[in-house]
Amino acid sequence: MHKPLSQYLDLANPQNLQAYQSTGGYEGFTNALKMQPQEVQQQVSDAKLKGRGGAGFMTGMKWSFVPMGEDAPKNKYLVCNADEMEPGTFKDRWLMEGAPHLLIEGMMIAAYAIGADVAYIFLRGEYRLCATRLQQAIDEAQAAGLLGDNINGSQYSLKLHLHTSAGRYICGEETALINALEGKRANPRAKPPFPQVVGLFGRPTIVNNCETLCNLPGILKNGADWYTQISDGADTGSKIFGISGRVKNAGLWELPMGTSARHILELAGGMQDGLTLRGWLPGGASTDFLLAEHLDTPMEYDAIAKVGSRMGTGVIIALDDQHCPVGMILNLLQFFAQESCGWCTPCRDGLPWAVEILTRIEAGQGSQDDLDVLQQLCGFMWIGKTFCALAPGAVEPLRSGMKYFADDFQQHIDHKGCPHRH
Amino acid sequence: MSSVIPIQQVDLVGQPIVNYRDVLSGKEIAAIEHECSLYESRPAAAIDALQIVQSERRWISDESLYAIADMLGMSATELEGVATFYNLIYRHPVGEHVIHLCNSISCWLHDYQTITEHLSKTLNIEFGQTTKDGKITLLPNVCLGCCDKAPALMLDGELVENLDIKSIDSLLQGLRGGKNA
Amino acid sequence: MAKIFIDNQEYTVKDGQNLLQASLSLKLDLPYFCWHPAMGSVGACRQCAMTQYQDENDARGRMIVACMTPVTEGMRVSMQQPAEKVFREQNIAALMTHHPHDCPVCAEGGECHLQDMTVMTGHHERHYKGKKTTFVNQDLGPLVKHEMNRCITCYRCERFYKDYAGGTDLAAQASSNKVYFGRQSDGTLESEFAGNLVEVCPTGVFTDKPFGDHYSRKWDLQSAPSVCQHCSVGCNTSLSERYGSVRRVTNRFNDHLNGYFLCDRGRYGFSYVDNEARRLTITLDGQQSQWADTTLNVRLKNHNKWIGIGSSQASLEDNFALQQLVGSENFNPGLDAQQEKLLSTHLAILNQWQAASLAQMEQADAIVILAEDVNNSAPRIALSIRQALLNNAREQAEKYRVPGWQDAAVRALQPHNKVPLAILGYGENDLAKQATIHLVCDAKQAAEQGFLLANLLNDRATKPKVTKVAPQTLELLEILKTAKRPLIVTGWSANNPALLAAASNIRNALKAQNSGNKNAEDDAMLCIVPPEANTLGLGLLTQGGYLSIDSLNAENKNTEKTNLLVLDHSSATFAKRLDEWRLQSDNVIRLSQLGTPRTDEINLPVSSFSECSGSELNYQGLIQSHLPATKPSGQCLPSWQWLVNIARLRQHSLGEVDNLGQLRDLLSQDYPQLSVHFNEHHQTPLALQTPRVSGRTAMLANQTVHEPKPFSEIGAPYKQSMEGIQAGQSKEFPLAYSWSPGWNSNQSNHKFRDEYRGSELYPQDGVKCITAKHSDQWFKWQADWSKNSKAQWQILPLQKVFGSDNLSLHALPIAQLKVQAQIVMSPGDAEKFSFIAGQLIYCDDNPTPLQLTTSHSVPKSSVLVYVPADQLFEINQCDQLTAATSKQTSAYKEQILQQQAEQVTVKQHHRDRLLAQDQTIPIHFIEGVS
Ligand SMILES: Cc1cc2nc3c(=O)[nH]c(=O)nc-3n(C[C@H](O)[C@H](O)[C@H](O)COP(=O)(O)O)c2cc1C
Ligand code: SF4
Ligand code: FES
Repeated sequence: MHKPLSQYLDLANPQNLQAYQSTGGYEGFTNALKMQPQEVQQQVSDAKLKGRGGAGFMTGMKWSFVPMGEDAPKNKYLVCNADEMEPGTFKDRWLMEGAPHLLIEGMMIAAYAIGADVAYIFLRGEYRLCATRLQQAIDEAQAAGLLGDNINGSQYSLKLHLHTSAGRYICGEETALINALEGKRANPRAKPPFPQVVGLFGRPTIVNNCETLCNLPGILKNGADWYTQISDGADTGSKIFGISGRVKNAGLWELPMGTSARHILELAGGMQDGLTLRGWLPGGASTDFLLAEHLDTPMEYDAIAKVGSRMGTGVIIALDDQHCPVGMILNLLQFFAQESCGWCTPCRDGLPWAVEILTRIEAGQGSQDDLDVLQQLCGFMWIGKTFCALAPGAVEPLRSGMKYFADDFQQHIDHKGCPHRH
Repeated sequence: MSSVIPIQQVDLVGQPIVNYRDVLSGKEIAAIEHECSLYESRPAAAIDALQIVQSERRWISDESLYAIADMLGMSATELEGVATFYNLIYRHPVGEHVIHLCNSISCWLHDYQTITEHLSKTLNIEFGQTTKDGKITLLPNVCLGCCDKAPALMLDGELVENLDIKSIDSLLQGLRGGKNA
Repeated sequence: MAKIFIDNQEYTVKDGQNLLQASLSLKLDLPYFCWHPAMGSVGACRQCAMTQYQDENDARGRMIVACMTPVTEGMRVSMQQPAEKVFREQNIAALMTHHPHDCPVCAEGGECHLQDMTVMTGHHERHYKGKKTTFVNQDLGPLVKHEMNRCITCYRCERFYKDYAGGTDLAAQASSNKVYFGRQSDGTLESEFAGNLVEVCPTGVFTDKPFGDHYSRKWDLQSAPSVCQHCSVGCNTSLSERYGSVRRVTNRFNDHLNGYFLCDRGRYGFSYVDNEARRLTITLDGQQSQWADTTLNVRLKNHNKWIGIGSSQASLEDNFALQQLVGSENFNPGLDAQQEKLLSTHLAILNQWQAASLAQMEQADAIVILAEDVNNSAPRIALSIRQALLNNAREQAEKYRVPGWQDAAVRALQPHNKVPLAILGYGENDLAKQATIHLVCDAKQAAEQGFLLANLLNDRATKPKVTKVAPQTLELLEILKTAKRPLIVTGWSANNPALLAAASNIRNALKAQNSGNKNAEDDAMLCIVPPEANTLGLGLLTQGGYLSIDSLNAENKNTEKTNLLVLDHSSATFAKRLDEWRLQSDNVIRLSQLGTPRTDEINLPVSSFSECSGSELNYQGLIQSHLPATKPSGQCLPSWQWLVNIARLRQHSLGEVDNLGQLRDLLSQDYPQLSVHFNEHHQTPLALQTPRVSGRTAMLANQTVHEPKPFSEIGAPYKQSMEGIQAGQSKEFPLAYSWSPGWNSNQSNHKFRDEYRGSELYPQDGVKCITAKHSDQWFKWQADWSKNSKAQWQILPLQKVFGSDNLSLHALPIAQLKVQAQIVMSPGDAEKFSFIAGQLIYCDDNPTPLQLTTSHSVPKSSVLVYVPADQLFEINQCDQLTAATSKQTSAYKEQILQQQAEQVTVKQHHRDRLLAQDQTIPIHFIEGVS
């Protein structure tokens, strides 16, 4: 199978510019430069690339909203969303540490396609090794004339800067990220206006996930058809899938879109000895629980949605039978409550409330009506009620957990304590 | 949000006046100026500037805050709003070494609590505290992005993965400090 | 207009607005917090949830927040859907997980928007079992009290303070459920609009500190519609009273003037009315006296000539009565020679051009300010101009199909869509910081450039002989050629009539520019800022002639003695002038509110604006009347009443006036345009108490069961009771307070006003006394405007919000914020003379120590000087600047510290006095007073 991403990957000793170029690197960008920006957009649309940041929005379509041509505002920006703070997700780090030039080439292609003249990598602060390797790669590309003015003798110029964040999950939300890049508090912004029109510093801006951008060199090098044939499912291309939790060999693999979760679990060697799978979150902390019975669902946006969850980042978290689902949900909700930006009421005050209840239940001090309130809070913070998707994301494991693990909740209340703790 | 401004009042009527050149080093100023050049506006470099100064001085004192605000042409209050928003900016002194222990889901599934308890007991501090000798500060951190090697922590920015009691002990020994008696 | 369906009921609303605004305009009850009519929508609190349906067949619908949803033709929504009703209740429940249950001790209690909204959603039971987050409060200075625990994180305070008013020292800090609104550290809030936080905050986080010191519940207050006395804008206020003392000023909505916001000079300046310096008794040569006193009577009947000196600090009625009593030829308006020229120029211009209202100014798309520091001379105007600076961004947003009320989007677009703001003048202030064109120059140069600009726009405008056109002027020229709604602002603070003439010529030229094109509308605007609340009232009265200061001075040189009858004046400069005239007078009779009476005058104590009715003409010439909130203190009477009494002694026809109504009839005879105003506002009884007012009639029940008649001013046909027209029952009548069932806070405005009816502006109500008859009159450059000072330094006057208005300096909270005298030099000059910022400097042998600041906004060979209104500083040029010796400096510091210490004592004393005074009403309602 083609591995457009991981073929370049070397975690111990990532390819330098020369090595990357000698294995076909920057060919995609060279091809792009020969095309009109709109043609590049078209090719990406034809490849049916979906954003890997979690929502799975069509990348080509997203770009098409950027004002183009003579009348378009002078400055436009491309931003790589490398804020990866979704608990249980570590795919972007893998790509950036292992193949920094791949991301940079992807960004150059995207920037060219939308006519951006400045690009930023918004990197989460904890990713120190990524920062070093990316900066090195940027410097190399700059020295080789791949970045800067009149790239490869063309009319096109691009500056690329690395910004390291000071840590905040909400910075991953694209409009909050824009505020963070402007040096402000990372509260999300209302849409419309969409960032494609009014974004960073009030100018047209595209924010794409790191993995999304890493897919571009392959598409531009080998064409849209090649890309769509990597998988034979509903979604095109390959995806970095992975799994963590109490499995034998947690890790990441580049696989065709639509690979089943069971296959991923098998690649990880299955659950650790003596443990069985009780549930799994398909793509990070903000996705709904699924059960063992769902393991054969193809990892595709629609298919996963159909069984009641979201593909999210595609990196699975497995819950085993020795760990308490209530405890797990409490841990997740604590994260979300802490990371709420504090802008809208349901999230800011609803999540801590849920944490307060879960804490009591987990400690054996919960009551029956706590469950009712918890249930109501799920509705209170659901999609459409909050300002951004953080709180609804937080509700996903909670509401599905309350459904699938209702007995566990009940036991906590009936036995005034956690059955998993003795 | 602290209650005193440590800047000398040079003004008769009591307005605190800060000149960043009196507070920040040449190196810091150069690094911040470089960041400023990467954005459309100076205040956009606020987070970078805070990180630059913090990497030199471990934390952001009120004095640093006022100086950075002056340098970026923004108010100290506004900069405080930014500084207190982000997890990795310290507005309180921290120790020589900072341990960020991951407390998110994959590490929870790998019982990070055992590691926490052990660290807490050995160092005699809780999350958010610094040992009396000023050597080590212990902080919780959200998912460090190494869920395949849980539990994990970050020591002074370096990842330490697959933790167990033994590796913690040798880690602490390497730091030779953290006495809190 | 759009047809929309709310709960299947059809309504027609203005399109373009958001659904929350539309619903409130329809007088429907939809709870909200973060939205504010003047500040737009941000969608943070989520309280205004409604259901939207795709069409008639959609039964489920989806939740929307109304404030972020534009109304569209045919849209179907519901407020009554159970899902959203539940959501709104849950939202309050979530807010309440923090909110303390301290309503009994909270100063917001009874007028709390959060209380109202909580009741509205039906939330009444607590399910949250955890602990509440608690915060540490900050000391934010003498005006605003901080109680963070009550915060519901609606972000209104930050959005008002930082975004709307441009303050930099209050912002959101921390995050998640620990968001904190405050300063970086304790300290006085720097913005002169900080007091609005009290009204902007929907709960009790920011409350009125002086009011808290002498507190009453809103429902126990009786309020009078009043007009601010501290600058020429004439912001509409509600003046609230209890137990005979004025407790606070709050904003009274006026769509064309103050809108929703006041400046702090207006909000806190009123309390001079119960300052220790208030005159309460008649004095004769310094001794307390009585009206019936024979000597007094003899002196008042003196047969020598009487000269009346009017005052811009006194009402139109007072000045008119004086003018009647002494005759126009003996009526001097109390201005200096330069001000007389300013006044006549100003009047000439207003006869030609109407002055724009604040709301109109907010629509400007290009702004020129000629040497007027509006931020300090009329702060509320500056706040409006600040809002105009968003207009291009708003327009750009609309191009992207984003409504202009989407506040964050508009602000994101502002940096690339600036409204051109040109400042020709000197000094630094908030507007100067935002200027896109800046020419640092003195008033004369600004006027010259203004004349040149007018000439470049239209060659019929006369050209001053002199000078080069500045590049800034050329840049401005190009902007004005295409601007649709340009605004020209100038005023009196630089003390130069040439500025007014220049502004008028530019205005003329802009009209002429458009006259070629029939379709082009002439929407250019003009605003000239006079110094005081009733300066233009004097203008109206002196149009037919007056005794000028030059003639008065000349007359003073005659041997014949005269009598001086002087209306209320309190500035140090006037006192000095009066002292010179005094020597030549038989009698000086002063009618005053403040000050120590001298031993060589008769002093009649006059009611302040809080104690009697009166009218003022604001900067537009708009007549506005204020009503009393309390009865006159001590022996005080309104000035006009004293004058009528004097007239009676002297058998002058003015003595036939029996009451205010008759006086106003006389006024209306001379100025028929006034009759509309007086009829409209004063013919029908107006209730000053809310229907909710409790316990008022029983206030003295333990002394007597016979209720005293409510106080009512003689001849003023309104009632200090709950009877009569209620606020909002008729648009014609000013609202005394804002209240409506279920809406106890000032957010209730929409229940009786139309102000949410969409974005376009209604014509301004009211009577403008000086009415424009368009004529193409061009001002010529006058030779005496070109006079150059030969001194080394030209001194240019500066103003301060807290310091340049003398009345408010007698209000303690303002006195505590008073800015001390300052001199501003360019950094280059300062360096040349080795002065350093912070040092004290003297000008020649003038005894006033001035503290030095440096600024690039100082023209060549000039220094800027600000001196508080209660200090004398008369020079306008000097040859030598000298630094104070260290001895002088420490003496000065000592003096300032002592003043500050005294203020603390006075404040305590003042409070004790008020509380003790309350005890004559035998209800021990405040702790610690036995
Ligand atoms: C709370 C929150 C956190 C998010 N964090 C990330 C993130 O860390 N990385 C990321 O790529 N996208 C994140 N997203 C999604 C982004 O908002 C955005 O959809 C994405 O960057 C778009 O990239 P794509 O189109 O390439 O998928 C987050 C969204 C939300 C609501
Ligand atoms: S849901 Fe609301 S409070 Fe939560 S992160 Fe988004 S905007 Fe902030
Ligand atoms: S008023 Fe609509 S969300 Fe706050």
